[in-house]
Amino acid sequence: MRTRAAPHSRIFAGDKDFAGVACPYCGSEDLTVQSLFGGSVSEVMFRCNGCKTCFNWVKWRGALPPTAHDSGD
Amino acid sequence: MTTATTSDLAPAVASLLQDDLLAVADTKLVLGNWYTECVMNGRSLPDFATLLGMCTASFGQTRAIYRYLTNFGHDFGALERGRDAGAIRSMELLDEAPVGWEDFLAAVWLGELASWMLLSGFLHNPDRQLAGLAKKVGQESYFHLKYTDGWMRIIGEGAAERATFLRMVEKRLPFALRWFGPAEAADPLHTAGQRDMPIGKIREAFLREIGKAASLVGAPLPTARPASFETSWRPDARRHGPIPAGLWEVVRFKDQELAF
Repeated sequence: MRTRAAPHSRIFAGDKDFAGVACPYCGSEDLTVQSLFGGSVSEVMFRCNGCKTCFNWVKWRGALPPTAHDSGD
Repeated sequence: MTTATTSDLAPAVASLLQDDLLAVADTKLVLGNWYTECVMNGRSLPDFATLLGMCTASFGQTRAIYRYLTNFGHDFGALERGRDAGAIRSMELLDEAPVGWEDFLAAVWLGELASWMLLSGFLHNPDRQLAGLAKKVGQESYFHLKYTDGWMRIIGEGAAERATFLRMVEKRLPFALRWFGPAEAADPLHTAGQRDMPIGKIREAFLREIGKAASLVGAPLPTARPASFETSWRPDARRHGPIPAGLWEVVRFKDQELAF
């Protein structure tokens, strides 16, 4: 059985990885995740709620998953 | 960070290090094939892109680790194409094909997290090449786990899907735990300065991360049962026996003549 897909904008609202992303056209940080993939796998597509423009953002920031060192007791 | 090479290692330590790296590489090989086989079960275009991205990254990680193992005298071609089912050291967690989307998600989440946790033990390895390799795999695993987090949140929105997912985690988790081996007091790789912390501590950290997923699915995750080990346990491969024939048929290198 397949589960239904939920809109990315809701699932990823407030995601820490997207903090600080701003619209390259108007500078607004009021954004919606339109798709986790843009023109390539490494890009996220955002829609700016200010100027209503879509843009791709490269999501690579070099973050690592939790390791045994930083997984708190 | 100091720099060391594989030739600086005592033979017994070098052997254990190769065993662990091959177990991770072969697990990534099987994970990559799982993504390839299951991509059409995605529910949306982003799902397809995610699964294909995870597939190519997994194969890339496999080959990067195989390439690193050539420092120990391994032949890359033999590692990639010259081994039979008994020589593949993938996680037993992935032996059985998924029976549904929730089972698929449970298995790949546990497989990605367990393999990353084990590899993260080499993030500060004296060999900068290995430390860099672990870091690069981690950067890719970050996104793989981010995707599984998103899928778990979606599953958490449906009571039936959530219940199925938790049942599948309960079924798969003992196999993931088994991969970390019997809880032994001493870890020779840690003692030799090759692993950042004893494997038992890494296993405990893995379990803590499993528990944190409760906030994603909206329910506590199943409690881990102690892993059991039969006489056929192969500590060098972190598994029992060979991989099943059906899985071997999927993962084996099929077009050797086209590779040259």
